[in-house]
Amino acid sequence: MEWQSLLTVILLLMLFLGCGVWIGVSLFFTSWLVLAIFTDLPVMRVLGSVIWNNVNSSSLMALPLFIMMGEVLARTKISDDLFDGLTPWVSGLPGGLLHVNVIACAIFAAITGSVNATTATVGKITIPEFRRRGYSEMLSIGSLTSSGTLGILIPPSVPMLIYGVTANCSIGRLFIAGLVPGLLLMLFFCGYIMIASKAKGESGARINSERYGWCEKIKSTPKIFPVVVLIGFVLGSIYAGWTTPTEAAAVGLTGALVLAIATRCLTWKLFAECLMSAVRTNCMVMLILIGASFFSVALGFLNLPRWISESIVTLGAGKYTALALMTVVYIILGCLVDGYSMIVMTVPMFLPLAKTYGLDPIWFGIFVILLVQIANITPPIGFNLFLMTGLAERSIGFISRSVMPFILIIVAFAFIMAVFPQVVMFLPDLMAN
Amino acid sequence: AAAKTTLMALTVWNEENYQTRGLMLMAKRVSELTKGDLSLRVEYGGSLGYKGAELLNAVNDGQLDIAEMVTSNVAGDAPVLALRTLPMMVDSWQEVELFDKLAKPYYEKVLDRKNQKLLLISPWPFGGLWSKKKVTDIKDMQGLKIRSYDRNGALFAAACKAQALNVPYAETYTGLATGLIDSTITSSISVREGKFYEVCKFHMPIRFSTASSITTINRKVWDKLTPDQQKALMTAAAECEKFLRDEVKRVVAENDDFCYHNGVTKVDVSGTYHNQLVAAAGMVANDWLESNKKAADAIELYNKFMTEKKKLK
Amino acid sequence: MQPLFKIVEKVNKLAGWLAGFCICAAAILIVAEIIIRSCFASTLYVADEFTGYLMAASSMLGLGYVEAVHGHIRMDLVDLLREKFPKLIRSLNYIAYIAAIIVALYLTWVSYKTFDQSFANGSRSMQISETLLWIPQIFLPIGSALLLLQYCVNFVLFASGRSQK
Ligand code: NA
Ligand code: NA
Repeated sequence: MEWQSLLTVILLLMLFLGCGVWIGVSLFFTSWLVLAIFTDLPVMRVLGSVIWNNVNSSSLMALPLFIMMGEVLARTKISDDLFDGLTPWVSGLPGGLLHVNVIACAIFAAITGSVNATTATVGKITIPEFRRRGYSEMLSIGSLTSSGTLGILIPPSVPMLIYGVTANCSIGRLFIAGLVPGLLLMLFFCGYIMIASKAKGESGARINSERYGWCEKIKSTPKIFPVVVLIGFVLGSIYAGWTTPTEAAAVGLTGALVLAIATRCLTWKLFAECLMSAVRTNCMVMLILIGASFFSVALGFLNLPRWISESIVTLGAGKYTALALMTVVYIILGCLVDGYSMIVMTVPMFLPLAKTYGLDPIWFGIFVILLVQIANITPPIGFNLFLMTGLAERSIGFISRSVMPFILIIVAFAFIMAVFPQVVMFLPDLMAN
Repeated sequence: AAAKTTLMALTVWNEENYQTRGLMLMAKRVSELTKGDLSLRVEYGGSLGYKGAELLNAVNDGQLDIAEMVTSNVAGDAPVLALRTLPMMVDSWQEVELFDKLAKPYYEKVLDRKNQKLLLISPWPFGGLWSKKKVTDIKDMQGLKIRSYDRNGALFAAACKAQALNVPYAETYTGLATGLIDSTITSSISVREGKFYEVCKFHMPIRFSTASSITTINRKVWDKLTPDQQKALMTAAAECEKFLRDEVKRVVAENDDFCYHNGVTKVDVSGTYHNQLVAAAGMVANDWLESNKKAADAIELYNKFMTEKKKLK
Repeated sequence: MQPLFKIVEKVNKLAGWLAGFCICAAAILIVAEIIIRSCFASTLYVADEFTGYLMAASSMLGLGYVEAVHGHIRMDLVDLLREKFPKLIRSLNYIAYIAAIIVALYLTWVSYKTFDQSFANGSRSMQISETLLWIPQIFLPIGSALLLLQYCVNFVLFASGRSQK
């Protein structure tokens, strides 16, 4: 029974997605059909509760608010200042300014919740600079596209919000759990850039990069100041006990608007643009989110989550095998659907399985976020790929190749996290005391 | 013989919760009593996407055959189901039993309208005040930031001059750790599950209120069962109810103990403090009764209970 | 037909603005709550609940607007293969639109039923405001209907060759 229904689900979903049916619509249609075929439920009423339960969520309001915040910041001079402030510090390293891509993305990630806002803000400045200085396109575009995904690992993070709502665990704890892995992954990326640049020798990076003295390093540093204040504003408001993580999004938006006013960047036209962009992303995500929730409910009624996790356990798979299996499923799924659907579709199925292996929901959340990062940069559906085709004017094929080494680093990092769960759990556990 | 029947029974609580264990016990007993003729497929946790407030309608529409629901969560169009959210109304397990006995016919009337049959009523633990600050008098509650999740909880906090903040359950721990809130009204079961004992160092067992759950079955599904199956289901339900009424006391004692061994100090509630709280609760109750004047059944049940309650003493 | 399409697009643009307004309103409400909480040790009581309703209204009202600007995502095989198999891609797009129209129609009907159930029962929220639930829920059928209308318009535009998407 379960075999047939699982196969039907997969076939129908592939069919709809393959025909170019909108992702949200495909999820609705698949769920509707399988429920009608395999159960005698009043499907309409089931869907009714699903819609209302998902859209009536104060926690999810953080989604458009964080998106709008990112949009506002991307239009201020904050990115130019970040570039100027970081350049003197990294230009001496092998790979030179390429590290600005990674570090600026990591810093910017701490004030924005999405991959696209991070990539766009940083890329807008670094891509033309790198071209001017003759850096290897493969490495510069690869590092930018992948570092942009740090935007969702370093708090605040919209996918973490969605995971927290879906898995019913603390968003505050998730946020703080992402901090150490985010910084470590940043270092891994930097390390790879150094190795790759050294290996390439003269042919690749570091053409006409200047050296800076201490004086310049210190002089340029205050330019990072506004960003640091904003980070303090957003994360500080959560951990100083002023706001919930959701409310912090409104605080962050206010901060971004104040910064935009202070730097005389804000006009009514710009405000409206940012707002409507938030509406577009929000509604796009919400249609998918409702569809994906309905999909996971349908799987639940078909008893598939329990069946799958029982089958994996009966097969005698150990913790690492199970995690490896999930990684493979996530990477395949991540090629086909976006990160948001991935979380809502799979977490109800995989979280109980993870729990049977004694994995903490917070740890598992960070693990899923890493795989969502990969989903963002794998073809054919990857939000960050779409963005980069516009930003760098290169083909999806080229960008996909450029991120390959970084994807391998993320997978390796996920493995390290599985062996050393303390990397994730250290800070949230510390928070208790 | 009739074909084997499987009914879907849902509870939104996790696997370890005693309500889930109760429902599983009921499922096991039904299978035994009918020799496998009737069986329940128990779904627990959030796997089907239900949150709680929609369950009364979900059973009404036939989305679910059987469901366990907290009465106050499904009281959106039946105020009588919200009575138990009135603070300080029931004060002992004896009063809980009394209330449930009196409430049964009223609940059944609501359920009739909602196309379902009542299987059992089960209790939840009393809510105590778990706080980072020691509270021995209502004056200590001034400015206390208490997590609240419904109308009467918020109004009660206000009546005690405390500050009610609506924080999602999942954020309670973070909120307590960061100081967004400094106390929560709940039972030791949640305190242990959410690890609140790591941050809340004092437990004031104020007996704020107890929720109650009803487990119901869709009327059409019920009518389709054979008389033997119906009888078996009711027997199993009665056994389940008895189990839950004992189990809740055992679980609370066990979890209280766990918290006291993990750094929580129990602060006894003095007679004066109790009376202050009852007085504050009185204002909330009057306000609620006033705004629900039209719900004759709720008012009637409330008055009946308050009269009978006095006779207990 | 042309003026009718323009009207649908205009209505959806307006709905998009309303969705944006809901986001702004929520931001203001939340900031107000934080200020009142931290500076005056008090609370608005309704901030969390109303933020949820505003999210519901915003998410639903903007659905049609997003379709009007082709903002809902799908697999972009369509774009990659258009030059090689133009006929195949056109027929696949017919399937996509028909599926979308059926789903939008179904969503509209389902969410109307949800609204209607709350309306008929007079269901209220369990929060302090005791809001009648049909008030925020009315945005469910409205939003789905706007999405349906826009899908229909886009389908006709595509079928008549006036749009490639
Ligand atoms: Na971030
Ligand atoms: Na992808």
